[in-house]
Amino acid sequence: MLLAPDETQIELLTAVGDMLAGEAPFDRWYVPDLDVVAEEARLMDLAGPMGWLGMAAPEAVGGSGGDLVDECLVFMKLGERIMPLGLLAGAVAVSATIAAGQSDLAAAFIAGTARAALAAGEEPRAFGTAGATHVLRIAQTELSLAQGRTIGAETVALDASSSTATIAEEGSLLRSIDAPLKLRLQLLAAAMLQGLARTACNESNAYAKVREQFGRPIGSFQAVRHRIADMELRARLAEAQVSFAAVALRDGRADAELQVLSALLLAGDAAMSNGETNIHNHGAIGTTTENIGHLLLKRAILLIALTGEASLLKDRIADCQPPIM
Amino acid sequence: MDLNWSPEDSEFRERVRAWLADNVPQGPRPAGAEAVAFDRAWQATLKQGGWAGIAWPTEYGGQGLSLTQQMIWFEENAKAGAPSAGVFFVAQMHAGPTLIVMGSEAQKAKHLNGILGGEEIWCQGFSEPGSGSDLASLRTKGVVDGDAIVVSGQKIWTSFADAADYQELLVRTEPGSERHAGLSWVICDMRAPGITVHPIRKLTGHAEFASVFYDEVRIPLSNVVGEVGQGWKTAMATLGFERGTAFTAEMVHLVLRLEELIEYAKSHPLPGAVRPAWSDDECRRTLSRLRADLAALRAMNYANLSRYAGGAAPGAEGSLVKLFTNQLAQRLERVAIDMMATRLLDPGSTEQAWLDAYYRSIVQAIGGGTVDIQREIIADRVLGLPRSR
Repeated sequence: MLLAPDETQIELLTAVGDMLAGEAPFDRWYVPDLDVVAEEARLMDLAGPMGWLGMAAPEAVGGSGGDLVDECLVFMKLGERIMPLGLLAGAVAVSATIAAGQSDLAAAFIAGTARAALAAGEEPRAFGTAGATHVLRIAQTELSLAQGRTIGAETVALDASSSTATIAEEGSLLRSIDAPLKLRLQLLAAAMLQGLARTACNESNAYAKVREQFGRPIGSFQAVRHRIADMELRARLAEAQVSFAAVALRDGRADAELQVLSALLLAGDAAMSNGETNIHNHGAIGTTTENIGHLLLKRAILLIALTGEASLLKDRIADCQPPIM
Repeated sequence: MDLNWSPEDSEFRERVRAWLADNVPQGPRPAGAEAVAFDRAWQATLKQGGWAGIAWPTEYGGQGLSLTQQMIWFEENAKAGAPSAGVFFVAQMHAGPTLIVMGSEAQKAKHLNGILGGEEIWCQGFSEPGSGSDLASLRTKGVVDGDAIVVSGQKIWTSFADAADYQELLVRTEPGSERHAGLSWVICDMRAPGITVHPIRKLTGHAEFASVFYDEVRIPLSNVVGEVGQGWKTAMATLGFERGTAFTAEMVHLVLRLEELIEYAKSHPLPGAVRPAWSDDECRRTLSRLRADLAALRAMNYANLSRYAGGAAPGAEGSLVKLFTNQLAQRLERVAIDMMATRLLDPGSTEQAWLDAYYRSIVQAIGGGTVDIQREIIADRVLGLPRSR
């Protein structure tokens, strides 16, 4: 039993974290009138060279031969930097096409020449559409992948949170009622939500050390300290549960569904609660757009709405068998 | 990462499971004075079966198990409904480990065997009426007089003081000293002249608590563990001895309790309702959320254990685990009694046991460092925030 990253994984995470700090600094958002769509396209251009979408894919299709756990660890890091939703759609498109035997298309997604946007239910609107050639649709019981073409100009959903457009699907490439594939998408979404919760906690922690009121750093007041301690707890619980669920799903454990849905429920709540609390901890500054607090919260709202709202998740958790002890 | 156990660990689990199946006593632990005999018998059974002191090094008669095997032991004990350490908790989990780390050879020779065999009961003498969360403010006085320390003062919240043979006692031996300096950790014989024990009844109805009064109690200087004036260092030495595995049993208990409660909800209505509680959206979703939270508590236990087993020094992660364990216990037990409502009013109902557990969950959020103190530790040592005090 080992539920902590090994040395290779720690090195990988450090490298990804450093790279993202340089390429996706938070202060770029403070520029008025940031072109969100162009910015997303730029970050999506990095995915191919960085190998972000092929973490769990075999080397034969251009992947790095890792597994679902490696992929989840990287997606927690991507979540920390509020990276585009196209990465989530793309990674799942890679898994779906490999499972369907469409190696060439899988290779194209990994290389970045094919790009997927994300849509949910029957809605014609997709998200992470910047540069998208395909659309990955999450429905109640199935996932489908189709070529797609945006109709009209791309706009921005929930402020700077994601590019969005109405999309026309052109011929279904595959439909999957493979339950593990949908769980895989929910798990990667949980990983990104965990990253949001982690960043919100880190932002609050750093601010509480420098912001002074009543002649003392606000981090010395118990009302503030205890809120941040709770944020840390939520971020760590979500991290541990995402890891547990990744192993459970990878290994086909009988309680994999319960573990993944629990990860998404907890990571979603952690992202929302930490997002709200982080804004509060920053006082009036937190309520402005000169701070990333609002983006952390808005991205959480978007991800949860697309991949699993709490009451739906709870009802499915209720239907699961008890965990294997 | 993986969740598979090594062949040796799996074999160990099977061995534990089989032994427990043959040896766990039927029926619940009795209340009152009979509890002591029950705990004694269980400890003797453990010793006989070769399971005493699972975290203790073999040179002191323990089993010297790896962290993973300690965790497996606690998991299987919880699943089998095996008794907890009961009156031996302080001796097994605290005093014994302290002696192992800081005790003299004579102190080890005198006490460790008796602790493992269920012959020595210990209690804790740390908290005082004026010193709860702020332990370092304690004032019970120890005056060095020749070859003895003469102790005067009062300790409180001492569990099993009336049954105990010995007490781990923290006293201020340097006059005028403040905070963590000038304290000494001494072995106090509970039969020594000058000690008076006043039982205190808890909200659970049991008188497991006591106040202990010391009127010039003479304790040999040779009973000081560590150095005179260095008692805080001795008191801290045991922290991390268990390295978090002690919470494992509670985690498994909570998981099993929740599943029991879910079964209950499927066969019992909410107050004033006809259909089972499980068909009520709010009730079912509350229980589902607890299921997810307990999954994460388990994952966090495993993640911490993995880090420690990999050589990381145990840090304040234990505070995160304790905080969440206490919170979940309180939420779970509250959901249970809300659901049971009027069925709790009949003193003969089977639901009474849930009421006991509910009361206990409130106590647990205080003992061993309150949830608020856990948040302070997290803020200081995990987040590195400026101190509040």
